[in-house]
Amino acid sequence: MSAVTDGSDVSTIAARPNADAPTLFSQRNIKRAAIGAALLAIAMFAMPALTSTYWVKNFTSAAILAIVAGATGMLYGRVGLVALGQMAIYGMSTWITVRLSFATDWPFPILILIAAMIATVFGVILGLPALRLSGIYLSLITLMSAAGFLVILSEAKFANGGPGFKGLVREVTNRGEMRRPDIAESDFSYYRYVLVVMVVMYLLALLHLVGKPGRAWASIKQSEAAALAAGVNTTTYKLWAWALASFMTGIAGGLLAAHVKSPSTFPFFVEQNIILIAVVVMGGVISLWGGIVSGLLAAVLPELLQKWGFSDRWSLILFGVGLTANLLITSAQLNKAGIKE
Amino acid sequence: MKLRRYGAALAAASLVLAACGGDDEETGGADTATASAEPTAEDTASAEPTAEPTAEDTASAEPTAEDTAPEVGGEASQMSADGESVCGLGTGEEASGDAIKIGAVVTAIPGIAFDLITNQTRAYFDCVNANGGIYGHPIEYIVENDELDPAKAGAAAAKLVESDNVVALAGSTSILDCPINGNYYTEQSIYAVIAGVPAECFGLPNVAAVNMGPHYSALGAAQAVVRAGAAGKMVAVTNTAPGSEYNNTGVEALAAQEGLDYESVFVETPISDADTVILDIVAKAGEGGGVTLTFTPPEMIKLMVAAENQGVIDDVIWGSATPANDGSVAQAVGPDWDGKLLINAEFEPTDKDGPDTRLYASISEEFGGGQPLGSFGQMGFLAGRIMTSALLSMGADAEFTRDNVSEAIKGITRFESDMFCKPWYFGDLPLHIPNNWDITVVPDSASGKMVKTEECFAIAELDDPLIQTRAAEISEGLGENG
Amino acid sequence: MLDTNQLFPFLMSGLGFGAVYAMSGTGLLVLYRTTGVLNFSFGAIGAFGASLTWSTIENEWAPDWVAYLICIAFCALITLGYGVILAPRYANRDDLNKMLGTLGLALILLGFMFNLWNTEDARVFRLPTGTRRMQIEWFCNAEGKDCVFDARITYTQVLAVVFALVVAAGVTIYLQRTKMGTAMRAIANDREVASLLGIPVRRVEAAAWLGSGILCGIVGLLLVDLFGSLDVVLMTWFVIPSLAPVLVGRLRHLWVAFFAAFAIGVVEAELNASTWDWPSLYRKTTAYVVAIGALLWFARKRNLVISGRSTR
Repeated sequence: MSAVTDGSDVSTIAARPNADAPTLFSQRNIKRAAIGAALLAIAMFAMPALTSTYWVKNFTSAAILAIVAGATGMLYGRVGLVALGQMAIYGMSTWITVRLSFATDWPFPILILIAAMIATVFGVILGLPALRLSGIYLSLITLMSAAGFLVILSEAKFANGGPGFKGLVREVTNRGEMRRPDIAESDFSYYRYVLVVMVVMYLLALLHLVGKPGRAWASIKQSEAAALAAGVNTTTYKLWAWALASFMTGIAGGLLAAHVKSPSTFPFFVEQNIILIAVVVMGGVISLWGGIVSGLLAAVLPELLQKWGFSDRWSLILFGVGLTANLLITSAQLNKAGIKE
Repeated sequence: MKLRRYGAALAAASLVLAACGGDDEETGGADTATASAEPTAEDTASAEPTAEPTAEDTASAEPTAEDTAPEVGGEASQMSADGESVCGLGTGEEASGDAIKIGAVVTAIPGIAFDLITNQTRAYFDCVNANGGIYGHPIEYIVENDELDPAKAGAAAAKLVESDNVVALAGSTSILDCPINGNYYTEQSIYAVIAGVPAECFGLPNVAAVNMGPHYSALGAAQAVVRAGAAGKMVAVTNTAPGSEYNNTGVEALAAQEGLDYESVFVETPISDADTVILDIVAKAGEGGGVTLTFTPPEMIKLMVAAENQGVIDDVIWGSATPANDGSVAQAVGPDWDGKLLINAEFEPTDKDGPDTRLYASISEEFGGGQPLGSFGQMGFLAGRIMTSALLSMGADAEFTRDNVSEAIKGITRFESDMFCKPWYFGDLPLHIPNNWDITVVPDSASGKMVKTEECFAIAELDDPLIQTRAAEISEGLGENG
Repeated sequence: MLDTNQLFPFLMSGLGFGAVYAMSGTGLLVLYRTTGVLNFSFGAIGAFGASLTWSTIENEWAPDWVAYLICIAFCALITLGYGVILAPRYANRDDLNKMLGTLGLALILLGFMFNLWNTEDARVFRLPTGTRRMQIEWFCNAEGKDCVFDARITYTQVLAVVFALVVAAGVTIYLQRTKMGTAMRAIANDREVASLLGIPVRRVEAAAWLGSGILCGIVGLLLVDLFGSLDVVLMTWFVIPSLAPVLVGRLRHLWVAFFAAFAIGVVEAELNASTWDWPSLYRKTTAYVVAIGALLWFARKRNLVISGRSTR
């Protein structure tokens, strides 16, 4: 039983760190790849044909959030780090992408790569000392960073084609929009573009998980002291995970910029970090599929609630209940197994 | 290389798909437009002369009803024979035909509540539907809340335009809708009568607001503050919401013209330290200086309570943009504020004795759940009433397609209401600022209401859009000149 | 550049908020030390209680003082309920997951507040202390003008400072001198050993939850008055800056947290007195910068590393 192939929370928490790592080309993995490819094809071609622009836009939001959720879930489920500040990295990358889009005529992929890398650097600069802190301190420092960042972002605002560092227009007219990649101008094609990027990001994460970093993370999650004793350079590997998650989140931020074209600070509000962690826990943090579920929960569930005639404010309650239920179930299972974290 | 080919193929495939998806609606819509748009245009053209005598007679609304025969223009005026305002046709019969779909995007989250506006537009349409609808067609009003989330705002517009197939938008009030969806609406030829907040709402050919927006509203308040004797320095204070950098620039221009020093202050909302914010503002303005505040009612209350606590109400002259013209503000603050906050109301007070104001109060009671009366409610009421007028002007036999309705909306060259200082208009313009006259009200703690202190005055022409607008009013014969 | 005329009134305002940080901090810290739970729903519970008070006053269901008691009673009840029913089920989880449990509660409460009240509208109620003001004029010249210290404060601000002091002192004495307090300290040190020694862990923990709940209700009422209106979103997430002084006290030292709370409140207010733009624009980052700085300073010695319990 390994961390990658197992679906249940508890048995993995209990799993030995160096239990048989899966080989990349096992029959099971090939089968899973085929299923994944089929699902992707359906998502890319059948879904847009069957629904409307409205749903395509919502699924685009879901796919972008799935990248952030996947990164956050990976940190939580695989390394044991609860990041409550992902939205700051997400927002920083969005801001940089928008600003660069007005300042340069570089191709879109370059824009988001640069933005994601700058966001990663910031994430690492903060992470390097912060990762020396354990559990709850690390979470709180990330939350504090996100709250502080929001103050700065609210003041800076998002560029709309004006002059200066901030790039803000002060008149009524001549306001610009973030551009999209040439091959994905329409909402439908941009949706497919986002899906492809999402898959690339997930493959990048998977590549890490099945390799040496994945094994190191598993041992850190099991017991940092034991990992240290076993010769794992815990700080390096934690930082590695941190940087990877920051990069994925940064890419998502760039995608968001072109998705909404005129971003505002709302998606980066402090409470969004809390909602993110709630949907990540609800979606499941062991399998990467959980990230996709989380993205759907965050972006599509509120719309469905509305469609069914409920206020989408019920989604907050559902997220709270989901988080609580998940914690209760996993705690009961741990209890039964006689494990104390 | 491979990736690029793949991408190109994807793009091509998606273009085909997108084209197929939009095909039947668009070509269908275009056909009917070419077929039926012309008569509509003629209608409005012929309607204009009937309107003219009214204009010459007097500026007040009542003679309109007496003058006009019960033809298209008469029904569009929504007046009964005895000069009372009525909803739509005023028949008292429930409409039961095919629905005409009208949409709206609203921002409604704690602290930023514009659903007071869409609720009132909905109440108006409910009243129209209970009174014969649009020649028997009920109006189906679909409101989407963007919750300040840009992704949701984009999806909401797509839902309204492409899934619900609304023919027009009315009462939309959103911080994000115009910036995010403005160009999309232009591409889709959707026309909108809204209440505008961000700058973008006042720079589009197919969107016109019943209000003047925070920029001109704060400017009007600043004019009142200057008239009240503010000297030395003007301080314009607003929030850090998206687009708010534009809220203060009108005050800045006025200060320059009046030879006053100027400073802009941005306060992050929700405000948690109103005391220090107020002390800071008063210190910046200096003794006898002027301050304009542009905040929603809940934030206004925090600041006004803080000024009360700090005893600085009399240190400077206070002005406020329209949102503060709300019963909740008058009731929440103490008598110290009586007459001390010069609020640009944009509309006549809600206790005025006029046919539209009376109708608004009764609709709010009967269909709006007794929502308190205020500027926001008036905006919703007017958006609903203007849209209904546009639809009725098309005549009983018209096809209510998107293109036809757009023509009818463009055809509004003179819409009168006792709530406005001057008649409102849409017209065929590159940008719209049809409400550019202002009334000043102040809080009165005894009655718990706002009371009028200044009659209608013109917002100062300090920037190009307003200069162009006033010029166009004359050259195109719009509003008062229509 | 600081405007010296402004320093004193801003100091007064800052002390008011410092007091709220201090009270919240005391409640959060004592609960964490006793139960291992960092209660993120502290603000949401207070906001919910205050909303009940608002409804009671607005609809004239009961006299005002009953409305205030309703808030405190509700907060005590919900906090105790969570502590007795849900919290024990997370007993075997680490501090992080215990904290996530309270985040769940915060989301649920916030969702219900959105659904039950028209939270978009301005909702206001004033404590009797909020409408009475005190003029401070110290060291004035002969005519009683140009005072060195000149400010207007409300009695709520005075009440907040006094109450914060009383709570911190009271809690200190309680922990030192009473049997229950000793038990709480024992549990804070080692839950299992305390239990083996015959300390009724559940009961002691329940007492900590109850005390923190009562405090939460009082803070909720004071916040409505200090903010100037009932803003549930602001109140719910006010718990985040309130955590800053607790972190400075390393989740352990009550008096360090207490003074850090006042320091943060005062610095935040004084930054607004600056005539330069940027300190005033970014003053709201004070609590976060202080917390991050403190944590990074602690991290220097790696003494907070390695899993949860050893750090308490």
